[in-house]
Amino acid sequence: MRPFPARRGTLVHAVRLACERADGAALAALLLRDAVAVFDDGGLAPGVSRESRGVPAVVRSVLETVGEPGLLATEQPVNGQTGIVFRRDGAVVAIVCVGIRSGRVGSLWIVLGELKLRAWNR
Amino acid sequence: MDDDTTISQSGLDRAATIFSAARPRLFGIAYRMLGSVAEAEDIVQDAWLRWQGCDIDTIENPPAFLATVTTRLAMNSAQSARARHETYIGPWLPDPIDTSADPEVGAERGEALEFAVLLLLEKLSPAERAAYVLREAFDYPYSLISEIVQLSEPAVRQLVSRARKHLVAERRKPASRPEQRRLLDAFLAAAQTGDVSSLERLFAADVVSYSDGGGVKLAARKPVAGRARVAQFVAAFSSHFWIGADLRWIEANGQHSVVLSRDGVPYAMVTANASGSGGDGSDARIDELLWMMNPTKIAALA
Repeated sequence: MRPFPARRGTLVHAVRLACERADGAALAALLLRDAVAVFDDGGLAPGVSRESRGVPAVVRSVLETVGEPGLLATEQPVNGQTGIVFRRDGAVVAIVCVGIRSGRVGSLWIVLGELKLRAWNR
Repeated sequence: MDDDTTISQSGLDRAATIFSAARPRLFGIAYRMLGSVAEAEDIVQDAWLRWQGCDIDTIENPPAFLATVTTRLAMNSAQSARARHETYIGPWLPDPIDTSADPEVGAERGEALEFAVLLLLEKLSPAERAAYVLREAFDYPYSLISEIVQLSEPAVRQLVSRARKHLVAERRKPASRPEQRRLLDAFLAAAQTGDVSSLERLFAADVVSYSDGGGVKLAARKPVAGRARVAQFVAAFSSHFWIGADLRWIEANGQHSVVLSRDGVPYAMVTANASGSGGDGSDARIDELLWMMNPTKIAALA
C-alpha cells in the first residue's frame, strides 16, 4: 500500500521507459529540481560538455545520449543495484546508474565508450 | 630430477588453487579502491606474480598475505590514479560492473559498490580508502588492517571513523524509529497551528511533499519541494484540514503513520520520513512527507 514513487525499482523502471520513448516530460517528472547528469566516455575526446544540472538540461542531455531509436534498454544489476544497460546490435554502448534522494532521481551517472565498457563486451 | 619437477609442479598447483579462491575478493578490494576494472585486473595480476615468487610454505596465512599485497598495490596505484583523473577530459566515473555475472565481487558484503559511494571514496586518501573498504566491505579486523596499511590500530580506527563520517555527511541515514515518531508528532502539532517557522525547523532543506489524491480530492497533484515551499503549503491548509480531526497512530509499511478521521470516517493518512547525520538522531529532519487522500485506499483503513 505504498502509492508513492519512492522505490528504487519503480523509479529505475520509469527512467528506462522515459528514455526508450524519448519522453522528456516523463523523465522530468522523476527528477529532483537540482538533479545532475554526469557523463563519462573515457576522458579522451575534448569539446563536449559532460555535466548537466537542473531538470531541463538533464532531460535534454540524457535523451540526446540514450534516447535514440535502435537502442535496447534493460534493467539489470550494476554495481549491486538496478541500473539501465543500453545495447546496440547486442553490444553494450551505455550504462546508466541512478542516484536516488527523497524518493526521486537526484543523479544520473552515464558511462559511455568502449574503454569504460570493455568488461561488458567480452 | 623427475621428483623435483613433480614437487614444483604440485607446489605451483597449490599456489594456483589458493590464489583462485582468493581472486574474487582481491579483485573486489582493488576495484572498490580504484573504480577501474582494468586497473583492478592489473593489480590482481601483479599480486599473482608476487605470489608465484614466494615460498608459500613459509606464509602463515595466505589469504591475509594476498589481501595485504593487493591492498598495498592498490594504494600505490590510487596515488597515480588521482593524477590521471586530473588530466582526464570531463568528469571521471567508475567503470560499471555486472554484479549478476560477478556475484562474488559483492559476495562478502554489497557495501561500497554503489556509484554514489565509489565517487565519495575517490575523495579520500588511499589509506583511508583502504581502511574503509577492508572494514566495511570485507569485515577485516582492525589489527589486520593496521598491518596492511602500516599504521597503528588507533590510527586505523580513526581513519575508518573519519571515512564513515565523511560518507555519512553526504549520504543521509534514516532516523531511528523513536526519532521518526517524535518528528511526526512535532510535525502534527506545528501543522495544526499553521506555524511556518516551527514547520521549517522540522524540515530538511530539500524536503518533498507527495500527495496521492487518487485524482479526486483537492490534494496537490505535483510534489511540492523545498523547506519554505512545503512549510507554506502545509500552513496554507491548516485551517480547514485539521478541524474536527481525530488522530489515530498506526503502522503502515513498517512506518509510523497517522490516520485522520472526522465523525469516525477516515479521510487522510500522513507519514513522514526523516533522516539525519547524527548517530543519536539529534539533527534528524523530515525529508519526505506522504499524504494519502485517495478515497478508495483510505476506506481500507476504516
